[in-house]
Amino acid sequence: MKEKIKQNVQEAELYKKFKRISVAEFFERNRHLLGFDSPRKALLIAVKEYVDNSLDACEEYRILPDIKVEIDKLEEDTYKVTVEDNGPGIPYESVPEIFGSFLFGSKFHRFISTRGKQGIGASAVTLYSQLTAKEPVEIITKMKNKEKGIKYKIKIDVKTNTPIILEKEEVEVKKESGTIVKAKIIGQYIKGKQSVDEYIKLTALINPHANIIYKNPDGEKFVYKRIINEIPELKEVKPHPYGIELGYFDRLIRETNQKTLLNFLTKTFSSVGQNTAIEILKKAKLDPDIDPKSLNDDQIIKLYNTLQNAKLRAIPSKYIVTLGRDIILKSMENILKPEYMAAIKRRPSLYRGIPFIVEVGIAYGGEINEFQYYRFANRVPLLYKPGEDAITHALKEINWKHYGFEVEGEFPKDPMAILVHVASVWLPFTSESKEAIAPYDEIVKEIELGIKNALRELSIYIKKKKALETIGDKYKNLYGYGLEVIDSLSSILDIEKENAEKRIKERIKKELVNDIYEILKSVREVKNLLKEGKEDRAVSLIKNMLKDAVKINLLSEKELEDTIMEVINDVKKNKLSLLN
Amino acid sequence: MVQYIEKLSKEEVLDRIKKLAEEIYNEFSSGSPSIKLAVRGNIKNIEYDEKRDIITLKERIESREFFNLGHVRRFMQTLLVASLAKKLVETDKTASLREVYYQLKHTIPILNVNTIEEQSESDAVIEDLERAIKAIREQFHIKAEGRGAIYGDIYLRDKKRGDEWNCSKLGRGGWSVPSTIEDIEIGDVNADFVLVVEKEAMFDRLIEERFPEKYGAILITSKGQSPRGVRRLIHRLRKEKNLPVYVFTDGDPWGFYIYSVIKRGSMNLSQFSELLATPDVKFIGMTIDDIDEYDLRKKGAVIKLNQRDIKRLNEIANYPWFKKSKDWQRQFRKMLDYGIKVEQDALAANSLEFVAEKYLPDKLEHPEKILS
Repeated sequence: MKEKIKQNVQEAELYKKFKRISVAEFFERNRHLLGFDSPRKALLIAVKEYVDNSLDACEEYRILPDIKVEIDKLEEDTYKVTVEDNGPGIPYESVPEIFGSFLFGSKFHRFISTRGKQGIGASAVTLYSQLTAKEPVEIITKMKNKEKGIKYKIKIDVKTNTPIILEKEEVEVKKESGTIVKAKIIGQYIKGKQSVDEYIKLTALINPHANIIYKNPDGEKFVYKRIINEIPELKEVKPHPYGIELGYFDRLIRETNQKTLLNFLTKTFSSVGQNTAIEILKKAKLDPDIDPKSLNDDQIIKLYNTLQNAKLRAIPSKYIVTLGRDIILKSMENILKPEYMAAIKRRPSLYRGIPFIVEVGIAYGGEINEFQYYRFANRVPLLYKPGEDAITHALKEINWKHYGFEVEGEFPKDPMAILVHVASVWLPFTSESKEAIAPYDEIVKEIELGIKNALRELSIYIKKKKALETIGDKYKNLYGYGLEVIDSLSSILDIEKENAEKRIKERIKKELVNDIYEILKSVREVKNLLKEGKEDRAVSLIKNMLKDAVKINLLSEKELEDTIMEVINDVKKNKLSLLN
Repeated sequence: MVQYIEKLSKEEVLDRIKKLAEEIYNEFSSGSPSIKLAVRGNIKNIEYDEKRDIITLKERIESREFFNLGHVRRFMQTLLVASLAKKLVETDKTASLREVYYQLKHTIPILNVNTIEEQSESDAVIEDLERAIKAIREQFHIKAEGRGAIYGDIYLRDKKRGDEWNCSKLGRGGWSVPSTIEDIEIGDVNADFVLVVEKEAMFDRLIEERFPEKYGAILITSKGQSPRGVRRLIHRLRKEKNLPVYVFTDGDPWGFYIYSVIKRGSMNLSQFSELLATPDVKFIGMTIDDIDEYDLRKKGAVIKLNQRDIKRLNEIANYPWFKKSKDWQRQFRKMLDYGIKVEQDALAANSLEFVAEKYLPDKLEHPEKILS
């Protein structure tokens, strides 16, 4: 609660500042607020703003997205970012506004779980481009109902926060609709965890309904194919007072059509009924019948704070957009190519009365070669400030050894990728740049439970796999100790040692057959070889796993081979459902 | 399931070992070979049998599976001990725990590891075998190192060797009680009661003062926590000769627990309580009341309780058999109140003869000062 009050005070200050100077000017001085704090990050943010906008636009117009991203190196530190989509296009007369001015408050979400920071994103890139590369941005867009497309070159007049149109012309566009945006900026291209390469890969991972083609400055091309055709359904809901920031609240008041304060509250927000609204206005010492536009700044702040502290019903969780277990599994399979996976979608939970849903996917082995985790907030990958993030907090709570992992430092050594997606109509972040989910107890706890659910499923497999990896040892042990058991039993029961030995050997071989079935069922490499009809290679792989059994004379190589073949034939003949 | 019984014949022991082996051998041809045994006693799975006033084990069975890699080594070791036990019983020989360890230890060819690495491993599987065939190790001829001694006018006879002796004629040390007394027969006794003392020094003191002769006592020392042989001897003296038994320990939580084990059995051997515990023994001292009565505090003969003492005191105060006794709870409270404990030896603060001439006679004359 203390945090919240502090945040409100900061917001109030920020708000008053905005009123005094141009928004554009403000951001010029505070570019870190937009995420452009370093050249490396600048490149990523530019790509991210454009791609997020493309994905959001396609979603809203129910179009399956085809997105092309290209980064070209122009000079030592200057890059050209090009993002092309097949979206609905931008209304031609709105292009300058969208790319050439800041709308205060619009960066604060509409109440819907979309990705972007609408409004501010595209203009931020324009501002950054003109500040660093001294260049305008170029936009070509085409709408479905227009014959021709239109091309703009735009800058921002920082003093007045209005667009400067440097070029505007009609152009031929072959596509039915879509937009291409080009921006030149000073930046730095890097590889690794906070790179554009990683961002694109994770964006593809969390948007399996999109085709994404990406070319990096080294000329490497990455193609991420669409694997599902369902476009996430966005349902817009009236904003909940808990989820809005002061700036947006101010804009709602200024733009409302309602004539009384009471109607403004009940018609604009969800979860605010007649009685609640009257009570809130009483507390804020405001007349319910006055025109909302007549409020002064202090009254607006007072009303905002009263709303934040009122007891209100939660928004129904049906408005939250998630991927779901099956799609997470499919997408991980497609992009991470693991050996084994588990995923879970948790039931909705609440923090401060706001519903949220946690989804977790874990991919193990295969092409993954180290431990890593991927953070997503409302289907946007988060690459920065992992230390502050609720997801990192939750991961640190996990007792990895309990699930059979070897730990190095805080996390397992095992090759696995953990995907955590937190979705809500209103997610709390640690800062305005929205780089880390605030570690509220309720959220951390819920993430932790989600990870544990998924780990439980995975650990059954891991333990089995580790047991199978050392299966040669198993037979060495069974046979070695078995021989001692034979000695003891034959001496206690006064029976021939040869008879006892024969009986115990046979029993151990029976166990071996069971394990071969288990290998066919659980070892992916073997399964794949059989699916491809490469039986010989499957047999030799299994033989290799069991070579110790031959070494200790439990059975001959020929016998082992025959046994393996028998099991494979049995599986084929009876169409046992091992090979799914 | 077979039960623990007081007298287990040689044939019966061999039969139980063979049955165990036979079952396993059959399971090797069909099924999953395992050794079933009663779960070891601990505070969670023991039960206080209020009627009989002893600790018993809640009967739960665990099993050691041959095809479980976490079990197979222990499975093998248990059968190893079983086959040695069979030989010992057949040839009428008894081996010590240490000897068993050396008898069983050898290298397994394929694995290049030893059947047993440390004696603690063989000690543990001997316990497993006890719980698997429900016989105490003495019954299958494996014994621990002996501890404890007995002094007094009592005849004992070794059935196997044919020797017979009077425990007051063996010098001041009395007779050393071995870990197994299954071959010992108790003959004539010329005494009125048995006194078990915790410390050897007190045992020596009482013999020097001729306490057993003057008061008709059989004296036993457990030298700390009673070994199994001593507990078995106390149990049999009470049962076969109907002698009252008194226990005399330090006045601290550890002394109280020595008394508790003699009376109700111990937790980890709770499955044998019926053979080892002696429910109607009584506690003669030291009590906290003694501190006041004999002015021990003034004489500086007491020791402050430390953190471990207090923790242990709270533990035993919560054991159900102590919990139900008002007298004991009063002692515990008083002890915490005073924050002190007292040793047997502290009685020497009065004089060396004090314990034999004043303290013990005083207690025996005033049964109300004795706790049960």
